[in-house]
Amino acid sequence: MDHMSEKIIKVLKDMDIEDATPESSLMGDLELESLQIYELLAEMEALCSVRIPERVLLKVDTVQDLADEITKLVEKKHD
Amino acid sequence: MIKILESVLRENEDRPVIQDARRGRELTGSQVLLEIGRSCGFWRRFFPDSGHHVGILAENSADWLIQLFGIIASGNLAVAYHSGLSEDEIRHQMRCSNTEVMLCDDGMYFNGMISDGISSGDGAEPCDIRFVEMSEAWGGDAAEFAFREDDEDVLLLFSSGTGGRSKIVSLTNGNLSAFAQYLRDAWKGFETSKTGTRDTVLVPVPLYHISGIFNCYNELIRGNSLIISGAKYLFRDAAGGGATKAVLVPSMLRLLADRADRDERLGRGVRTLREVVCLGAALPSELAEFLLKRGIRLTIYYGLTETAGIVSGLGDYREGASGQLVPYMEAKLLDGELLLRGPNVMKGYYKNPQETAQVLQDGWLYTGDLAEIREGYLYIRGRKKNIIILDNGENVSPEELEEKLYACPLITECLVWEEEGQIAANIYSAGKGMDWEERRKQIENDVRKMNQSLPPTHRIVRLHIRQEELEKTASGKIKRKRTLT
Repeated sequence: MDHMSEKIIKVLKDMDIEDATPESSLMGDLELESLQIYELLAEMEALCSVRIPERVLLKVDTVQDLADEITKLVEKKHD
Repeated sequence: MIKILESVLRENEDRPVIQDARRGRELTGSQVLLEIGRSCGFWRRFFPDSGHHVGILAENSADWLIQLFGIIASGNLAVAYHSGLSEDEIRHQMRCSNTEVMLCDDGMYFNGMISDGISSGDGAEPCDIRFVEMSEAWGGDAAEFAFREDDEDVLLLFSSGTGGRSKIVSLTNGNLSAFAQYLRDAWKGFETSKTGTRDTVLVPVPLYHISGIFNCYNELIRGNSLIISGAKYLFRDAAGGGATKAVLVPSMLRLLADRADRDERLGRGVRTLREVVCLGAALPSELAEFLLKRGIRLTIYYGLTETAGIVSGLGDYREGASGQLVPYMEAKLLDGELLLRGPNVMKGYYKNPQETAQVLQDGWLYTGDLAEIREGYLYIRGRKKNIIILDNGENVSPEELEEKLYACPLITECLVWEEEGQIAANIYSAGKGMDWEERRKQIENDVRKMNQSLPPTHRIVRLHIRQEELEKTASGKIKRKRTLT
């Protein structure tokens, strides 16, 4: 499991969402409502000190998808 | 609209009126006026003449709101876009609304394509629309505001969140000024607000929706201050504790209610609230109870994009009611359907006379909502029109989603509906030559891909895939489930 996925899963645990894995679908397996997904983005923004546009969600289904997109944003910020 | 706002901002020139969390600043009335002037100056130089269509494609921010005012003040027309839509949807809406230039968040536009700031759009065709980034759209000097007639179109809004067959509501300067004019004529600004004092108002509802625009504008007119938030920052801003009033849709209130007793910071933030305005969808009684037992005043608004904001919401809270009608509107019932007339009712849908003729007759707007009126209070009883209203207030057209589902080759019949506050689909798949489990998996995959082209709030979350045909009416159409409150 990569470091970013671990961070997301920890944030989900803090939101009382248990049993998330990198393969978990955010709206399917974890049954997150849209506001919870937005809250997850806000928490990850604060943790990673990077702005995560809401449009990122168009590319995201699973925890791993989100981890990959946030990783790209962090890398772009440091370029 | 802008003239009224200008008077109010001058009256509040030294008071903070907007908290801009994104840029970490507070803006006084005079600063907001200056910024509107700078936006106006930019657009006046961008377009030497007036009447051009300027799209706004950005997340909630103080800049978004100020640019809306600046575009209108420059003599042009603003077109508000849902920033979470796919590129295809946005391009379609741009064509339908004749948007000439798109104002967007920094980094959203890249190499001629709308991006998420990460990639260059993965091979999408370049867009021929001009894009301007938010940080660039400010002139050096503030420009004079253009005079706008009451019947001039100043704002286009898409009536449902998805593209495709969205109708485009065209609102005039007069439509958007109606409630503000009432506030200025009948009230004395903050002195007669419901809580008797100035409020700091948390607004997390989207600014691309009439609820965001109406509430931000009219709370400023009341002399209140704004915390412009968003779905992403709702929890953070509510827990911040600075708000005495909040404008929420039921799903946002539910999130706060569920967590307020477990999260100390949020609990403190909720305790500073004196009033909550709830709008967009029916409010469950347990959420009303959550507020009332904490001594928080509850106001329910009912309105439509087509009425440029609220139709009712005045007076004290009554269970099941959406407040009293605003005095400048007329209302009547026809076979249970609510009809409305007044200065805030739109002239029509942009370039869509057929749809306009369906809803506007002799100046009366046929709302498609079933209602009762008792002692001046409005009670919404259900929907005549076939729209799903999510508990975040957004409208979703089931037919638009069904059209997308029919693009999946294994789907023979489908029906989209609302199931316990979520979007559900019944799907019938006919045909032979494929193992049933394989067929189901393929359909689930196809729906998952389709969902990814939609904002999270519009995704089909519950899927019922079956081998039997869907129930039909006598005329052979798929039978739709009707929603009644």
